[in-house]
Amino acid sequence: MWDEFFQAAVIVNILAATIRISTPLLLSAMGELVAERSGVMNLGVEGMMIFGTFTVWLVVFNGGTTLLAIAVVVLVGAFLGWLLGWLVIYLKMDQTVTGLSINLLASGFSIYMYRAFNIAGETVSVELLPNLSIPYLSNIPYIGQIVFNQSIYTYLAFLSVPVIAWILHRTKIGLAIRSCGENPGAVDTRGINVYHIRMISTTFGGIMACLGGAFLMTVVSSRFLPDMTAGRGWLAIIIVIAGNWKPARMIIATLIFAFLGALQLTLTTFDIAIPYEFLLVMPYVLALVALMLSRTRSAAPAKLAMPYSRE
Amino acid sequence: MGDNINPTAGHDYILLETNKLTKLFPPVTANDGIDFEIYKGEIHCLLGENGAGKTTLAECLFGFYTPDQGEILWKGEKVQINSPSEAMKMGIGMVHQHFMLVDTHTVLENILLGRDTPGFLLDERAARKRITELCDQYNVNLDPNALIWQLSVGEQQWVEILKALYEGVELLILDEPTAVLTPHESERLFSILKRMSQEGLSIIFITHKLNEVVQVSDRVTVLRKGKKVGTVNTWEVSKAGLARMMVGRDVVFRVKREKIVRGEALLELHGVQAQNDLGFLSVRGIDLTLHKGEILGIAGVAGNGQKELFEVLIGVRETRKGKVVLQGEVISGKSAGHIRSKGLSHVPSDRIKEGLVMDFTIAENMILGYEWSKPFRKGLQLNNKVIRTFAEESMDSYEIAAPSIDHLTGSLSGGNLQKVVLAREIGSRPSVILANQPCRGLDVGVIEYVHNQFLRLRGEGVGILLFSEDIEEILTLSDRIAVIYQGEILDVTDTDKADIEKLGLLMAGVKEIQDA
Amino acid sequence: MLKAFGLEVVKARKINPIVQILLIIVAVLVAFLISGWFISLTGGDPAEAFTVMFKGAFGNKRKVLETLLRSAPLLLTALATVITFRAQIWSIGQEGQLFSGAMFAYLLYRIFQPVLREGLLLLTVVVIGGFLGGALLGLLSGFMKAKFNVDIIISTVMLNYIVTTMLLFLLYDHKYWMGTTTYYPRTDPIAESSWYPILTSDSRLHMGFLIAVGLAILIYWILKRTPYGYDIRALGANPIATKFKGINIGRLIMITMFFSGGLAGLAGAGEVFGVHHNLSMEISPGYGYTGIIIAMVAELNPLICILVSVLFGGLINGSTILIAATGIHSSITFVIQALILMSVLICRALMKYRIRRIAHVG
Repeated sequence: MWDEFFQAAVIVNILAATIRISTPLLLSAMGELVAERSGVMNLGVEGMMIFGTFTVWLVVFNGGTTLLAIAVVVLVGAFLGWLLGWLVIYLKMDQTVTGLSINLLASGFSIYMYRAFNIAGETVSVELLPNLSIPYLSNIPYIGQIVFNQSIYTYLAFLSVPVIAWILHRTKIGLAIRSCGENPGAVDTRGINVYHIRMISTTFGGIMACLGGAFLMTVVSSRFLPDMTAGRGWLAIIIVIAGNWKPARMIIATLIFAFLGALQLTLTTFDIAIPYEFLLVMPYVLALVALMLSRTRSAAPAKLAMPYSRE
Repeated sequence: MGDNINPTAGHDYILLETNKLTKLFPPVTANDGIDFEIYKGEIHCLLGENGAGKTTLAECLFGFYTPDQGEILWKGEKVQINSPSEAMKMGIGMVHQHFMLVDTHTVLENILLGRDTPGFLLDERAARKRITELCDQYNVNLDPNALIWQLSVGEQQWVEILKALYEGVELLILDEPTAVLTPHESERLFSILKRMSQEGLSIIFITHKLNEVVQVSDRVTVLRKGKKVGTVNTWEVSKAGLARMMVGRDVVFRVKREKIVRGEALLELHGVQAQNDLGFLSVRGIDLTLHKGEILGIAGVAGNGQKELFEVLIGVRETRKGKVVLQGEVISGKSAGHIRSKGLSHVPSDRIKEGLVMDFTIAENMILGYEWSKPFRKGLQLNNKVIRTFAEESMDSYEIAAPSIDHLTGSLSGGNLQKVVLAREIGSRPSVILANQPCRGLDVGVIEYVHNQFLRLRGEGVGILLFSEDIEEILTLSDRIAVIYQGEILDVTDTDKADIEKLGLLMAGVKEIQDA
Repeated sequence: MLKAFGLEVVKARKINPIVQILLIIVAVLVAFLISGWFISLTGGDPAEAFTVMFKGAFGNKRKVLETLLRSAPLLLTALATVITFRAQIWSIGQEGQLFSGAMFAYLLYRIFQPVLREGLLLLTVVVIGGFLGGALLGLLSGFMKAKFNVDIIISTVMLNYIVTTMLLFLLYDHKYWMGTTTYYPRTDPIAESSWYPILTSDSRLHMGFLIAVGLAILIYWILKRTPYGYDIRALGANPIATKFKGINIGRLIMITMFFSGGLAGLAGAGEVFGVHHNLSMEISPGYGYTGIIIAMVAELNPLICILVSVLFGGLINGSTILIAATGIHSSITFVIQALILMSVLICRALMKYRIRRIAHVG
């Protein structure tokens, strides 16, 4: 059993799976990072991911291609991000409750609409995006298989990390976003519209979260299941916290969680006497332990989750 | 007296002028028909009490508020200033009392925020160069890469000024800039401002401190209750004259404090050390003794460890070393509830955030912290009858202006809020009261009231530890004065023997006269 | 934009309670309108659907009692939410605590039933077990917050997943818990003598409903009239001042999470011993989350929770026959519930503001 497991091929598989599984987590987490750096805490990430998966199914069910589905997902994500932003920034509704409401709405809506449209019981299969092997690099022994033979979705997800980090620290709008999270009053006196900046960040967060969900339907599985996101949205939020709001650390946190997920998937195919459920639960347990043990000073934006008004 | 004998001669023109400027915040008229003008290169003080309308006028000039009536003329032309960024574009900059800085960012990032430059990238190199130039011009030493929270308050203020200079303003408004500075830093600021005015920059300096007016301004405009009382050349007027203009009656500079024989030791601090929220040791070994019937004033500019020391004494912050003894019992390390039950009450510095629950009624706030004690509690329930009686009596004896005890606290004015806090803290018959900036933001009338309360308690044998940034208040109330600087007590003197100049130096950390 | 017209948006003062109830009614109507639109999108007839649901919920005496049956666990999880949200403790662990209570109650039943056989003593043990099971889980989250500063939102969500997965494992894989019908994840039926007593002869309504209502009244009293309730409200309104006045916040959080978890646990025990008579994953189709919705709609008022729980119980009850009668799947109730929540929240937020001429008390 165990010796079958510790074969090179198996380990390569696990590591490749790790990269793949990181994708939705990374996308949602980076979107959440931008929103939170501007001061808005989006607890509806899970719900937005669900909307992402559902939208793909809906578009394909109505005859669209996978690429069209992804385009629609971007629109849906923008709408959801905009909606959350409007409720929380302009109406100043409580951010916790609003985020949870979105989760509840997403869950109920997707189950209902799926059942309602799918009366005939036909199973719609989404055409999955193919993997993109990067020439030359994918021939490197082991590493080639792991890193350079992923879906383009995954490459873009990992690329988004340095791009977003660069935008946050090297551009004017990035500085404005970061400042809104720390001291929106200061931003206001500099003539920048705090509300606009936060809306932009929240909308972006919505797009990223929905794309994260869409990944599950366009690369991983081609069948829709209610609640197939299984808590990934919550893990994205944890990743932001565990990474101390810094993209580099967030990648590490993501890889760790993804690794556990990959491990769980692989171990079940071997006859190893670890109950399947324990492996399922490991990421959550680990997340809790990590949060408990985290001792470094939090780099949380000072005004996170506090509405701004010019009083 | 300032050394600007004839201020308006040699200055070319009126830079900015207001005619009948009026701003309403119903039912209050914050600015009532104000005519004001400032010349190019002039340093002009706006003087008045709290609530006279100085800041409102400034915010109208800075575009934060829009006047309801009247007009503003800039270089002779009528203008409408609709936002701070428009004001900046015109050439008007403002440094607020509460800095608008992002603490976790660098000086450079704070200055670059919102700058209207082409493209979407930040041009750090050019900015760094310009910042260094400006600092050199005014003889200031500042690293553009420094993080704001690492800077001293005076340096942070310089960053705020830099923001305006960087944009190339012609008029700079400063709102109570010395409120957070040591006397030494204030001096430096004044010399920088004088230099600026010589180079043609006009400065509006808002203050309520007569000494500063006399020291730095060319002319001064006095506001009272929204109206302009008058504008005078600084060299032509005396401090007493200004005070009379400010208040409308001859000001009594001190409340009467009778001499009392002080009693035995009540509260003792032995080598107390504590860390602040960022992990730095901000209280570095303090020994103090507070006696019965004594007011011990702790003088010091904000940021020298007072906040942490206060929190240690009331039980919300741990000590790293040392101990605190209250009437023979060690209270350091004990819970806040326990300390309070042993007779130590406190008036926090931020009554809204730390002292009251705005969503509660007045009656409910009267028992905040005491809800488990008898007689407010009877068995498992709250004893409403006792609570209401106490609240009603307190409202009466402290003259709290509110429709009823069931009214929400959120609708009360600052003075009345503080009275609720006092009623509660004094009502528990403590033996020690810790007061942290008790008169911040209050009107003269209420300040007098609060001071008299403290003196009354002192007469009854209560020991009061008074933390205050207002040296006038310290001198007025305290029997002894301790100066705190960077977490240490530099000196403790009897007030009668105190030398104001020496106190000012101590507050700035100057221990020996040679260093001054 | 409004500024140009000399208008601005200002915060309003406290809202009249009658207006509050009207607001809930309006919000519910809006929710029905939107969900009706969803139904028509998928080819159904909204009017027919809603009529069927109403009749199914309140049509006759037996149906009303069945609705009350459904509302019992909802009321309990709503109350669990009320005491925590009032303190601004954002616990969303009701679902996990419900299962935890169910599991613990069942475990105690298995242990003590051979000894105690039946009767009041066993019943008491079961009820206490339900309470403790949920309470201990809640306490765990509270402890993690008090000692390690782990956000309650995160820990409760994580624990939800962990507990439900654990139960899945036990039901599938563990001899003690597995039923004799092997492939279906549920325990063997509970002896009828150990069921919760039924209140009326012609329905399934069990004592859990009375317990829930009684607790709602108790919690209302606690919040309004006791020092503990005062502390909860103070913590929710101003945590900083609460700390400064010497109230031990960590302890307050742990105690409140303990009781909150216990309430949810009682809901779980009620479903196992009063309704399904076995332990399975089916005992809660999201009652924990529905409880949160109810509490928010009722604006954290325990007494209004009773009314809203009955409404939602009616929704659930009425939707059970939907698919047979109209072909519309019962999950529409989730949509309706979420829409009610969102429209109540939005209406409430809108009511906080008034548009008036530019002027404010500075």
